[in-house]
Amino acid sequence: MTALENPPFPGGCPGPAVATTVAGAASRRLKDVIDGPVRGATVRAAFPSAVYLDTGSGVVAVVARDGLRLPISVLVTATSNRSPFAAVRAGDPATVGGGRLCARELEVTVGRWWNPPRPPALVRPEHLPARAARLARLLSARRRTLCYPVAMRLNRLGGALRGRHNTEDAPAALVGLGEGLTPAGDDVLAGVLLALRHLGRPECADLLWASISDEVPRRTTALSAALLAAAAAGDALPQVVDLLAALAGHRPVEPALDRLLAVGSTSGSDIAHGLLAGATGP
Amino acid sequence: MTDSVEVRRGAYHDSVSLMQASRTVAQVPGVGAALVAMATGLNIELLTGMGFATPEDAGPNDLLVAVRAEDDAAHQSALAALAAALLPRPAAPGALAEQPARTAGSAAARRPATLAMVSVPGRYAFAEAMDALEAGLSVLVFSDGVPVAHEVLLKDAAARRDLLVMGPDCGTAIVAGAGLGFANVVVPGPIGIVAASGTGAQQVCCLLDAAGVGVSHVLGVGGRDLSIEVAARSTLQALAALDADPATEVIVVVSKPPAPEVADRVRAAAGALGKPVVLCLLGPGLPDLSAAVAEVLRAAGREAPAWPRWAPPSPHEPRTGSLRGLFCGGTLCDEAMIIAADALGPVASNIPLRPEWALDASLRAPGHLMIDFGEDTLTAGRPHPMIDPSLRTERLLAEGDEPGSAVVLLDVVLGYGAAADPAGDLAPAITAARATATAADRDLAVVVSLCGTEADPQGRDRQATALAAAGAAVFGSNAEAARHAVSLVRRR
Amino acid sequence: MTAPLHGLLASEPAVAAAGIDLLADALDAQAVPVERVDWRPPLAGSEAALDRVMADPRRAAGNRTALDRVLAVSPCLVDVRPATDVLGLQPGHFLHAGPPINWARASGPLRGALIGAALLEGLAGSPEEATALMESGEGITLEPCHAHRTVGPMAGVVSPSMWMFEVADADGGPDGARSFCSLNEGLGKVLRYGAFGPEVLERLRWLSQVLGPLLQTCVRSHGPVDLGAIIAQMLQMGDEGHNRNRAGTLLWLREVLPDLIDSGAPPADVAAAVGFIAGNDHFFLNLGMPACKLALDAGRDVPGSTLVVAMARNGTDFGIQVSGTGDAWFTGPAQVPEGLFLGGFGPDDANPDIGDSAITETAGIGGFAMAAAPAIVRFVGGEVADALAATRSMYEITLAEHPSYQVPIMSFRGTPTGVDVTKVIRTGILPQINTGMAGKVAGTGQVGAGLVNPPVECFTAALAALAAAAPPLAGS
Repeated sequence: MTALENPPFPGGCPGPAVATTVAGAASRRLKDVIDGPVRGATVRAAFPSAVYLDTGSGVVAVVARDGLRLPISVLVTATSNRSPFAAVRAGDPATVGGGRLCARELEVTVGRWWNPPRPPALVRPEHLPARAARLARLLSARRRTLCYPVAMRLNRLGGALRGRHNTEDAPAALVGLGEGLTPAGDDVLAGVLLALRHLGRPECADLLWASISDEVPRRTTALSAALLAAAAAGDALPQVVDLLAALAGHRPVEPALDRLLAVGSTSGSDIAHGLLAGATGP
Repeated sequence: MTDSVEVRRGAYHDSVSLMQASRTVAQVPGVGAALVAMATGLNIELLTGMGFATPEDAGPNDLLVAVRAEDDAAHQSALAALAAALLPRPAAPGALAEQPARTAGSAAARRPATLAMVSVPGRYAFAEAMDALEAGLSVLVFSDGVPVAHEVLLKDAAARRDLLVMGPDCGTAIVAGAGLGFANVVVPGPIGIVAASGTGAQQVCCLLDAAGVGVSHVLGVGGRDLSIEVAARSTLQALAALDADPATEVIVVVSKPPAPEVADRVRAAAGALGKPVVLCLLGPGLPDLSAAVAEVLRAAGREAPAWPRWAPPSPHEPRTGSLRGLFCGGTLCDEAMIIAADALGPVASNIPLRPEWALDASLRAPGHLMIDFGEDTLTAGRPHPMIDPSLRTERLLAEGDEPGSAVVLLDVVLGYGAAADPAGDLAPAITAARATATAADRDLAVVVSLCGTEADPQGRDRQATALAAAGAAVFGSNAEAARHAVSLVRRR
Repeated sequence: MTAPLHGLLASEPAVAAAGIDLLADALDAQAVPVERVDWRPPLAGSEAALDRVMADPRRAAGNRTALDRVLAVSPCLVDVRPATDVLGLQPGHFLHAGPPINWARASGPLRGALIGAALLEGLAGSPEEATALMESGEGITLEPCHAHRTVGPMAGVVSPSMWMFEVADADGGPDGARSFCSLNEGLGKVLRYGAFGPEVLERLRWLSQVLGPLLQTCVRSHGPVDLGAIIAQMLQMGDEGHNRNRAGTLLWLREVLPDLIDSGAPPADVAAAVGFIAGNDHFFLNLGMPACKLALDAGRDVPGSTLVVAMARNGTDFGIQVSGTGDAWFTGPAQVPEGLFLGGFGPDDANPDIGDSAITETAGIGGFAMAAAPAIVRFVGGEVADALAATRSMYEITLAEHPSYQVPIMSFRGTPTGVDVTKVIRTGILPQINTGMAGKVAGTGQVGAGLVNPPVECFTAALAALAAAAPPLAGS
């Protein structure tokens, strides 16, 4: 699925005149798009805990307090059992800009900015292989394996990262591979990018991203593309950052992994496999 | 017109809600004047000043309802409007709905909280703050008038629990992005601020924002934290917390110059940290806040920009007469006084730089003067002037009539907690004061120090434009505003 | 490595806000979760003492200690014995409910009960003689039940020949603490409501001659009966343990019934005993009360603690005792309950609040557990929502939620337990007490049932005493 072209929107909120305005706290990654001029967008998906607005050049997630704090989120204080997004449906027109987001009766005014969390710097890099090995053992013990095509391609990418053989097309082969809003191949790639960025090989992250960034918007969903771009810049879910912090030597690996495995049906485990591949150095 | 003064026993409402209620009642057709306020000494004085009879036996826990109405119908409408204005917040529907918590501890038990904010009248703040600490929360005490012995007790109780007490009399904090009290909307960034001065912290935040640099946290510590009695208890905790905070790269301490032995402790603690610490100590002979921010920016590897200004095109020729500073922010007033006294000599004030420059309770004196309308005695039982600027506005209008006054210097502070549209209140008064002066063949210059960010709910540029349109020269840097105001006064 | 300030700077902010609404509104506008406090000034005149007590460094830990001790008690019925044996009462020695009082100030129902007790003990031949004896005071000692580890419902009069339930902590061992309460007489014209007619005395004699010895045999053969477990269950069956004890009575009876039948007593006596207990919905009140008393006595005498360990009324005064102030009573005038009246009685017939039964509220059941017993609300013509509201408001003045006494309709939340004097002063919320109403004329008996609060003076006086006992402030 590719991002739709959205016509520029003249301003104001589409949909009924009466909107319930709630306050939101936005990731600083979204500063330009939210503070910029009002533009049209489309609701890509709507769930009890989140809605995703596609602006054509990126995605803004509006997330309930108990939802996933993606680095492209605007958080509202309501929890999902209060159905804050009940009025919003996939396909609805929306607007983003002028400090606000609108979609049908939902109007969110941004009143606070936050930086997505970052893991602390890697300490005792000589122990990273041991921590990565622990992660590998735990993933195996919890029987959280990758599906076969993804595993095969990650294997090739891992080989490339370890410099064993030249496989320039290995990363691209993962983009968009799988089903759903965030295909497994993208989750794995996000994990690889984040591990490279934060565990001592940022230049590899840059090279990897440069090799796929042109293709990403064409080959995967808008949401997944936005999350990959965030991962390339080093931003991720707090649960991912926690496991990165564990691999960097600041906390135990096991509880951090278990929190990440609770994310999505397989997303958490796919990302963890990507982190493992990115943490396993040459 | 007939007056009625009613005393409602034990009917408590906070001073801001009452100010809004007073305003609602005064706007009822047929109502000449109205005051709805807790019966504190100051409010009873205010009531008497408005020409109402003084009620007997009314105490600070009683609600005064004074209405001057032209007939009974108007009086009844006024009371109905008051009843509507003081309705309790609607409760969630349903038999299982929670009743509101009645204590800070009870609120903390209902839902996970990281912090308590106590803004009850100062007389009662100690119990509430202690309760919050016992519930395991760090606490911001916005209230003023808390005895220093209680402040020390709170801070020691907090330190034992590894919690922080911000305040008492802490007007500003930003904790993990949440603006508490009077706080400007800033993006998260590398600068962590420890502030014994609320408006000082706001000025630093706004100048950093103007330079495109964000703030990690602003930890207020209360105006007395660096005194000998309190001995920087909260400042030292806040420094350690910011040192350990991964989001903070450079630490700034904003305060008046502390007692020397306290300053030594702070310097020693700052020197032991792993991060650069810039001390912004505001006092005679020391750099002003704008200069200090430039140093902070250098420590963060940035250059200070030209501070924003919205000056009117009129030529600024010095004029004869005195400088009148009318401030909401104590630190902004202080900074302006230091700059003015350096150039012009003595400046009378209710927060004087030297004891011999003190203003009496009338707040009137010939010559240069500056008034901090946010000072404790002027806010007992009434909202802070950043919320309710009416006393300051009245004084501005009076300065239009004052033959000796040549330049009025005002601060306008934006952000959460501040009035919704300060320029909307102030611009007509600036126009009126200048017109009064012009009618008396005087040219009254008005200079505004505008402390805000474009992301503030009031919108900095919108406010600046409205003030400039009323004839004020508007500056983003308080120090530059003060220097400009000084330059307009002819020296003798 | 743990972050300083409990991770304050790294956590997603969430605020509890007390004071100016506008400042809480500003947090709403920033999408910061904020829990607002509906703050009001503390009771007028108490400010200085409140600060003093809040500053007492012993208070927080003291309250924790006192409360831990209260909650650690596992009350069990261990024996049934005459008062003269267990309390050493001699002829002429009477215990009564509430704080200390003399005959001159005693209310109608207390006088009626004392007259009845004097007749029961054979100290007088007629009510008139009994009245004259009490007025003269010769050879008469009046003391509060609470001074003898005892509690008595309504007038609470205990005389030497009455049989007492004896309650002990399951873990206390043979020399552990004890509490005591007389056997419940049933409803209608009964001594505890101040009635002293022949049928009253006859029933009291049957209690001492038949029921007491029978229950002694039965309890001794059964072994300790876990009263805490019964209280926990009865709260889940519509009882609150003060004005409604129906489920508790039947649960207790079910527990001891085999031993009762197997006691070897004549079947007619057993049948009479079972009929009496099963027909008396309040039989368990006299077991729940000493269970609460035993728990609260464990919380006494902790320096600095502001925990209320007794609330009791003698029909004239309402008194409370507080952990940090020893045996001192803090009193104020007892109020007339509001509620429903029996038959032709009305508010003018009711005596002010009387009885030690507020020990149940002191321990976190009774009026505090009103939400568990919606039927009780009908005493004041209220709605079920009022029952929930009553229990909810008690959380504002208590220190803990009881770990085993739970309210099903509130998702099994523990009942609000342990009244804190400072919280009563700060919120102005007074403990909610469910109670029976006695007629104010001696000899009338019960006239109704309803709800009542202690007078505020009890708490302001207790606060002043706690302030006086607090150590001096450092630096002042």
